[in-house]
Amino acid sequence: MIIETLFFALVYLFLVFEKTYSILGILASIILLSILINKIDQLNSFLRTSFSKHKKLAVLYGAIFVVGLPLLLRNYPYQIFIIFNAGLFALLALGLNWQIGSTNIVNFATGASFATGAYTSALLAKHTGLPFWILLPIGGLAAAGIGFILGLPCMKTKTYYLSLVTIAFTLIVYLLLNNLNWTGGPDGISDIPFPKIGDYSFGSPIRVFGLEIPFQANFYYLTILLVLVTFIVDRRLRYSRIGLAWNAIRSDEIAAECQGIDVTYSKVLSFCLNFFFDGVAGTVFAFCMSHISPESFTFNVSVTVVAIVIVGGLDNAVGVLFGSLLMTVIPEKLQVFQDYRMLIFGFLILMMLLLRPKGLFPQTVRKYE
Amino acid sequence: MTQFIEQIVFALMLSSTYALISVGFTLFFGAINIVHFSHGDVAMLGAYFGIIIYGLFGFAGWMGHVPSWLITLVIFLFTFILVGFLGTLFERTVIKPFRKSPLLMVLVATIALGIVIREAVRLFYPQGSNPQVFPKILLGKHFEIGNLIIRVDHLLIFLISILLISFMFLFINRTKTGLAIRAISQDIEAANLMGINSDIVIAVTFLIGSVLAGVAGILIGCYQTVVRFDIGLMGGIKGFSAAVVGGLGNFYGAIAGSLILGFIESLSCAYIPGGAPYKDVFAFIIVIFFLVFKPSGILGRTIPVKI
Amino acid sequence: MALDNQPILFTEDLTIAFGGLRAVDHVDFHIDKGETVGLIGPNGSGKTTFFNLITGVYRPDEGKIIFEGENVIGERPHQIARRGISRTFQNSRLFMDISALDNVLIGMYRKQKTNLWDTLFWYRRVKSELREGAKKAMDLLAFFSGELKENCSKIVADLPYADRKRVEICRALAADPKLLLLDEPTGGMSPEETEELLDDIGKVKEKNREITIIIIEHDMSVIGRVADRVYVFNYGMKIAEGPFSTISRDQKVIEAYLGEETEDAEA
Repeated sequence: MIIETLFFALVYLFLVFEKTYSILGILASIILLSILINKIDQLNSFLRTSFSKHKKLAVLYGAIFVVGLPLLLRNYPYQIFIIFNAGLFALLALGLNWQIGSTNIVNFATGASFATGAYTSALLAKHTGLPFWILLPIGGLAAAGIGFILGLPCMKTKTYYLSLVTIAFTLIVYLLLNNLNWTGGPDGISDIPFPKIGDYSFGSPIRVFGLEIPFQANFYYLTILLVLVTFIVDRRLRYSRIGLAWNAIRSDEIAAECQGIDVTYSKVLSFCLNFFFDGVAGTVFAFCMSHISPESFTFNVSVTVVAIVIVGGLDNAVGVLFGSLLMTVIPEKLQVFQDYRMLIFGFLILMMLLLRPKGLFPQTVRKYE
Repeated sequence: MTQFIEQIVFALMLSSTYALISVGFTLFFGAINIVHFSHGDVAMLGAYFGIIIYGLFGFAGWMGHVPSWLITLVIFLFTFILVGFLGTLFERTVIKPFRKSPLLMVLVATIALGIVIREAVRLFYPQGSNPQVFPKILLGKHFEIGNLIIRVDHLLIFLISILLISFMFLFINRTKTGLAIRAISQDIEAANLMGINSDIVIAVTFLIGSVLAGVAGILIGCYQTVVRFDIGLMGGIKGFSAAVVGGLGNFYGAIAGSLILGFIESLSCAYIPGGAPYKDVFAFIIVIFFLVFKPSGILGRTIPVKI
Repeated sequence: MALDNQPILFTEDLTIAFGGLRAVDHVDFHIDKGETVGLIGPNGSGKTTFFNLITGVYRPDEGKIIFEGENVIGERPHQIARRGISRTFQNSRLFMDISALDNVLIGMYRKQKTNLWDTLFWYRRVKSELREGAKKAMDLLAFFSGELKENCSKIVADLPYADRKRVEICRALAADPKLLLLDEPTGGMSPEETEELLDDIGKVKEKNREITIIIIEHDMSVIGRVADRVYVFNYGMKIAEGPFSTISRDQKVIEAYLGEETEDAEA
C-alpha cells in the first residue's frame, strides 16, 4: 500500500512539475525504484505476495487514483490532456497487441485505421449532424471495414510482405487525406462539435465538490472507460478459442490449420478487431481536438504504437498499458526531448529487439483455475 | 511527339536511379533473405554526403581553383567510401544480430534503423527539417536534336547508373566473390562448409549495395535539385516496390521492376491530369497488388516450401 | 453416405509432382475403420507428402481422396481436420511458446463451439467450455504420464524431447479423431522411450476401438508390433502392400532398403 502511494505520488509530481531538473529527478527516482524492486528479491517477493493478498484492495486503490487524478490536476489542464492522450494510445496499442503480440502480424497501418475512425466520424458529424454517441461505434465499424478490406487479400501473403503492405497502405492513406478535397486536404476538418449527454457538453468543465476540473477531464474519463472495456475484451479474447487460435497461428500456421483453425478467418478477425478499436480511438480524438488534419495520422503514429507494443510486452495487456503510459507521458514532459522523440523511439525499438525482444512485460502462461 | 520522347528519356533516367536502389534490395534479399527497410535512407545519406563534401570544397576555398569535374569525381569517390562504410556498419550492428531470429524482427529492426537515420539527419544536420539544395555537379547543358531537347545531366545520370549496374552485374557473375555471393544465396550452410566465410561475403554484399544506393542518392539529388531528410523513406519503398514487382532476389527482375515503376510514375505525372501528387500512390498500389497476388513478381519463381 | 463396408479412407491414382519430380506417383491406398496401417519406405519416398495430400496441405495433380465416402480434394486443411482427421508431424510442429496444456486445448479447437459473439457477450459459456477442455486435456496428458500432467503449464519449449512428442500426440487425440496420422512418432527416441510409446499407442487403441491409424515409421519393430497391414513406398510409388511378415521378405522391398536397414528388413 505504501509503495503504491509512493508510486502514485511520484507519477502525480512527475506530471505536474515543470522544470526539467525536477522532472528528470523524479524520472530517475522512478527508474531507481523499479531497478531496486527488480534486483532485491526480498522486496520483489514481498511486493508480489502483498499484491496477491490484497489484490482487490490494490486494484480499488489504483482505480480511485485513476479516477481522482483529474481532480488533483485540476489546475493543470494540459496535464489532463497528457493522460488523456496516454489513454488514447493505450486503446491503439491494446488492439495492435492482438495482431503483433498474439498473432505475429506486424501491422504498421495504425495511423491509417486511426485516421479512418477520426475522419469518418468528423465528416459524418459535419454533413449529417449525427450525435457523437452514434458516431463512436460507426467510426469503429468504418475502420473495421477497412481492416477487413486490407486483411482479406493479404491472407496468403507472407508475414514480412504483409507488414510492407500495411506500411504502403498507411502512406497511401496519408497521401490521399492530404490531397483529396472532400477530406479537407492539408487543412483537415475543423469545428467538430463537442459530444453531449443530454444538456451536458463535454466542452464544459466538471464541477464537483465545489471545485472545477477542466473540460479535458471529460474526455479523459471517457477514454479510461474505453480502455477498461478494451482491457476486458483483451482478457476475454485471450482466454478463448480465438486467442488460442491466434497464438497457434503465431507459432506455426500450417500446424494451426491442421488443428481445424481457419487461419484466414482468424487473421482477418484480428485485423477487424484491432481496427475497430483504433477507429473508436480516432473518433474520440477527433471530437476532443475539434479539428483534425492529416499530420496527426502519419506513419510515425504507426511506429509509435508498434514501439509501445514492443517495449511494453508482446501479448501482455498490462505491459502494453504500462508501455503506453511510458511512451506518451515521458516525451510530453521532457519537452526538451520532444524533438528527439522519434529518434528515441527508434533507438528504443532497436534496444528492445536486441536485448529484450519480448518486451518489458513478456507474455504470461494461461492459468485455468 | 518530341515531348513524348523527352518523357521517355526522363522515365529512363528515373528508372535507372530506382534500379540502383532496387538492385540492392534484391541483392540483400537474395543473399541473406532479409528486407533491408532502411536501404533507401542509405541513399539519402549519399545525397547529404554529397552536399557536405561540396560544401567542404567551398569552405576550403578551393571552389574556383579546382576543375568541376574533379569536384564531381571526389564527391562520388568519398560518398562511395563513406556510404559503403556506413552501410556495412549498419549491417554489422543492426542486421547481423538478427540473423537467426524470425524475419519479422529484422524488418522491424531495419524500420527502426531507418527512423534513427532519418531523425538523426533531421536533428543534427543544420536546418535538417528543411529541404536542402543539391549542388549542380553535373553539366547543366543540353543539346538539341531538332525539336527534341535532351539534358546532358539526365543523360549522364542514366549512363552512370547503367555503368554501375553493369559493373555490379559483372562482379556478381564473373568474379570469385560474386560466386561466393551467389553460393550464399542458394544455401548459406553449404557455402560455409565449402570454406566460404559467409560473414565477410555478407559484409561485402552490403558494401556493394550501399555504395550503389549512395550513388543513387547523389544522382537523385542531381536531377531533383533539392533533397529532404525523408526522401529515403519514399525512395526506399519505391526501390523495394520495384524489386518486388520484378521478383525479389532476381537481378533482372529488379531492373524490370524499376523500369515499370519509373515509367508509370513519370508518365502518370505527365499525362494524367491532376495526377502529380498521386504518383506515389500509383506506385504503392501496384506494389500492394504484387505483394498480395503475385509476390514472386513477374520474373521471380516461387520456391515451394518443404513441409 | 458412408457405407460401413467401405474403407474409411481410400485414394486412387493419387499423384503430385514438384517441378519435374513425382513425389507421389499414382498411389492406390485404402484403410478400413479400426485398422492400423503402417507406411514405410526410404527417406524421400513420398510418405510425408502422402500425409500432406490427405490433410489438404497439398493439392494433388491427379487422383482421388475419398474419406467416409466423400471426395475431399480441394478442401482446406482446417476443413479436413474438422472431418475428424488428425496428424502429427515429422518435425514435431508444436506451438512452442505456449504451455503444453494450451497446445492440447488447441487440439480441441475444431470440436468447440463458442465464437466471437460468445467471447464478447456470453463469456460465461466460453469460460466453462475452456474449463471443461482444460480438464479433458489434463486427463489426456495424464493418460500418457502423470509427470506430463504435472508439467502441463510449462512452456513446450522447456519440455524434454520425448515429452514434446507425447504432447503432440495428445494434441492430435484431443479432438477424438476418426483417423489419426502419425508421422515418425518415435523419431529420435531411445529404445526405452520407443517401448513407452508403443504402450501408449496400445492404450489409445484400447480406449478407442474404432480409431483408425496410419503410422509412418522407420523403426521396423514398431511397425511389426502395431500395424495390421503395411504399405511400402519408394520414389513416390507403392511397391508393396500386405502384412508385415510378408512385405519384409518381399524382394522389391529389400532392394529399396538395400544399404539402409537390411537387418530390419530380414527380421
